Amino acid sequence: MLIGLLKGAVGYGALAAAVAVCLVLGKWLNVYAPFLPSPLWGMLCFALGLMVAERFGLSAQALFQQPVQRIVKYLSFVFLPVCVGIIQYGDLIAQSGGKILLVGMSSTLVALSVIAWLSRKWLVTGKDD
Amino acid sequence: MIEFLLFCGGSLVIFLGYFRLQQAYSYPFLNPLLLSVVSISLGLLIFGIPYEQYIGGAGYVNHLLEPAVVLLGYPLYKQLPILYKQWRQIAVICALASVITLTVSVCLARVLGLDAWLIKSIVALNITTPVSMSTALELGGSESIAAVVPLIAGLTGSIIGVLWLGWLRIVSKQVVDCEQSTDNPESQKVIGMAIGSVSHAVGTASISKKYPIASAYASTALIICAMITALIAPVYVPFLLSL
Repeated sequence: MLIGLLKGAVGYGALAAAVAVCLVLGKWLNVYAPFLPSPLWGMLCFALGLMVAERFGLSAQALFQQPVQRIVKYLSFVFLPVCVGIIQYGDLIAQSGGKILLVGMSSTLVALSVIAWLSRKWLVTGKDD
Repeated sequence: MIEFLLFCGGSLVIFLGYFRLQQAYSYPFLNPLLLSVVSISLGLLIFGIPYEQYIGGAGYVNHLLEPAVVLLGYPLYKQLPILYKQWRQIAVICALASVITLTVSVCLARVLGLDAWLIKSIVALNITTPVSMSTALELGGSESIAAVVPLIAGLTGSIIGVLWLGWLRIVSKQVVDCEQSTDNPESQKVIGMAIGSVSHAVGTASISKKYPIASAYASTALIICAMITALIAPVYVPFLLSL
């Protein structure tokens, strides 16, 4: 059990370190290539780093799979305090809340239909139903 | 310290409570983020606590926003085998999804008479929350509004997305009604690309149990769409607003 716990802690620690390094790299890249926000640059660095590690025979799966799965499950908590900031815009919601909802639902349903149709046309290679 | 414990700890307890509730009933409307935002907002209003005081305690969580996006690099890496096979088609579909959602939302918002500032805050609503926030900031909109509006797209896709595709006959009734789809990989591709492109992580989470293959396509699509939208919005949205 102790070994299991230790292995878990190493996984989380290594993940935190890798994410921190990629975020710093992302911030640095954003200075020279500001067309992508720094967290997105960081995300690309992370994916690329994992790919390179795999080429050298280091599979990230054993170390990162479980910690990432657990964190992603509860990830939306991170956005909670920022979302509560919406109460600063009470007047705006009372005035334009319905319109914002209409805009959101329309763009979602229009794009959903077009993208599904295009995917059926371009991605589907066989028939299954 | 007391504020940190009260607001940060309290937020976490409320969130975990709703998380359990959703796990027990798995209905998309029981989205833990949505319910927590509503409950905490009502609580602050009822007890007359200013937002500044709340964020003074709970704001420490905001330091995790950027690492949360970086973490998505792992699922992206995991999806690479899918991308290799049909990367051209997937890239074109995601690019079109970004252009369509931005065009429809900006044009409709302008027709409805919304302010340019508000349009900039809500325009990235079809992509995942952290990228929506950074895109809105880049455009000069509000971070808080940009954090909440993706829930509209996420919940629309979660609640009626697959039914809507069935109604349009893009996906067969048999696939829409099944308990768990295991033998319809082609239909699942379509569902995954569509839901991931427009309803990001919230939509993807809602289909992952019923359509496992679709969820791999959806997470690929949501990440690529977020990147393309973040890339084109700072140029395309001001262009649409200037027309």
